[in-house]
Amino acid sequence: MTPRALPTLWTVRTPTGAISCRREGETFIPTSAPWIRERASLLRLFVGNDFRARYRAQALGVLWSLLQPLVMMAILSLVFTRAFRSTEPNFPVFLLLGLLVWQWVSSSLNAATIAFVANAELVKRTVFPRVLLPMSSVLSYGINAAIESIALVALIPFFHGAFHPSFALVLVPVVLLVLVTLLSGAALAIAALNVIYRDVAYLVSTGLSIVYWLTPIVYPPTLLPETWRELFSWNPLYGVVTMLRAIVMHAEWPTLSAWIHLLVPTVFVLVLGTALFNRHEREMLDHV
Amino acid sequence: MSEQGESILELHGVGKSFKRFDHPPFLLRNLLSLVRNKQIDKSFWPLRDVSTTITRGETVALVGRNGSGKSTLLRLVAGAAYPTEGRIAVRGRIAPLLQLGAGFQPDMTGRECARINGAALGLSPDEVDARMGAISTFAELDDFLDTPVRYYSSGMMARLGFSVAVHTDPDLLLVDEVLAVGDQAFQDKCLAKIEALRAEGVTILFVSHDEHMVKRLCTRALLIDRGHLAADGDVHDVMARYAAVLSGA
Repeated sequence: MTPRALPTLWTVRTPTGAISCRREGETFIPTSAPWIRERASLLRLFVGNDFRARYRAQALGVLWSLLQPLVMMAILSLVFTRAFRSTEPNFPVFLLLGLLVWQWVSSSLNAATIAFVANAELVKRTVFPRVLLPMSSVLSYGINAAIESIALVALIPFFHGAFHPSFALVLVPVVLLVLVTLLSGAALAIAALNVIYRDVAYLVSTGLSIVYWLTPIVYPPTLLPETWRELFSWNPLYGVVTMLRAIVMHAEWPTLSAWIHLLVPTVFVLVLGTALFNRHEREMLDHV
Repeated sequence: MSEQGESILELHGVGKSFKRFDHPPFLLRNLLSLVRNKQIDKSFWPLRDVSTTITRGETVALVGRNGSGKSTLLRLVAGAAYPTEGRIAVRGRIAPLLQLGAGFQPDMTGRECARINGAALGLSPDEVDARMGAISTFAELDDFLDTPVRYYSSGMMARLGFSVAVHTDPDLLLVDEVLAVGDQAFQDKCLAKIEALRAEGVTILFVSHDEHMVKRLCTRALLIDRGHLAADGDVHDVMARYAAVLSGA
C-alpha cells in the first residue's frame, strides 16, 4: 500500500474564525480558478435542488409560477383601472412588470429567512461554504422570475405601445444583477440572524409588507408628491422597478441620478448584510 | 503547529462554552439588554482545556459518559462549530460522519441526496458524480438511486449516508456513533470499510460506547470526563480508567 501524501494545507480555527495556511503565521487565501469553479458548481447544485424541490410534489409544476402573477395582475388591473381610474397607459403591463420583481423579492427573502433553519442538520453537522444557502434562495426564485417573464412577453402584443425595442434593453441584465446583489446582501443577514433570533421572521414579513407600499408597484411614482418621491427614490427597489419599466416600456436610458439612487443603497445593503453574516456566522452554529 | 512530524490534528487548550438559554433569544430583548449592558444568559462549559496531538495514521477512540463533551469536540474538529478559547489546527480533507445522511430531504432522489451530502462533506458535485457508481454499489442501492428517499427504509438511508462519507477520500475521518444504526451485516461492512481506510493510512477519530469495537479498531483512546481530558494513551489503560469513571470511582 503506497503511503498517502501528507496534506500540506492546515486549517486553524480559533474563537475569531478560521484561516488556512501552509505554516504558522502565513495566510493562504484561496482564490484560484478551481476554488471559484468549485463554489460555482456547488451553488448550481443548491439552486437546482431548491428549484426542483419546490415543484416536485405538484402535478402542474412550474405552471403555478405563471398563474399567480397573472391572477394578481388581472385582479389589480380591474381594481385600479375600473375602480380607481388609473390613467397610466398600458396599466396591465406596467403592473405585471412590478409584480414580477416584487414576487422575486418577497419569495426569495422569505425563503432566505429559513435557509439555515430548514437545513439545520446540514448546517450543524457538516462543513461547506454556508453563504451559498441564502444565495441559492435568491437565485432559485430568479429562475421562477425568468419563467414568469414568459407571461409578460405573451401579454405585450395585446397592448399597443407597451414595448419599445431599443439598445437600452442591454441594461436589463445589468439592473437584474444589481437586484441579485441587493437581495443576496439582505438574504445573508436575514438567514443568519433568524437562526439566533427567531423573531426575525416576523420582522421580515412585516418589513416586506411595508416595503411593498414604499415601492411603486401598483401605483406610478408620479402619483407621489415631489418631496416624497425624492425620499422614496432612495429605496433601491424603487430604482429597479422604475428603471425596468423605463427601459422596456419607453426605451429610455436611466439617468446618472437614477443609477446613484439605485447603487448607493445597494452597496450599503451588501456591505451591511455581509458584515452581519460574518459577525454572526460562528455564533449561529451554536443555535441551529 | 509543528513544523516537522506527521501530526494531522493539534488541539491547544480548546474550550467551548454555550449559553444556557434560560430565555430564548429574541432580537428586541437582546437589543434592549445590549443598551442596558446587562448579561441575560448564563454560560456553561461542556468542554474546556483540551490539548492533544494526533499523528497521521492513528486510529483514536473518544470515550466518555453521555454529555461529557465528545460530540462537541468532534463538531469543533470538523469545523461545524468554533471554539470559545484555544485553537485547533487540522490538515487535509475531513469527512465528518457526525450524522448519516445530513441534508437528505424526503422528496429528493438518492442520487440528489448523495450529491448534496457529498458537497457538504467537501466534494465537488463532479467528484460525487465520478464516484456515484462506487457509492451506490457499496450502499447496495444500484436499483434505487433514482427513487425519492422517502421510500427508503432507514437502513437504506444509513447505508447511502455512510457510503457517501467513506468515498470522499478523507485524510481524517470523524465517526460519531453513527454505526449504532443498521443491522449486524451493515455494521460489519462498515467496520471492514473503516479498517480498510485505516490500512490506507486514513486517520480516524472515533466515538463509541462499544468497548469491543473500540479495542478492535483503536490503539489509542482519549477519555473525556465532565468536559476535561481525563486520560490519553493506550486503549487498554484508558478503557480501564473509563470503567472506573463509569462505576463512579
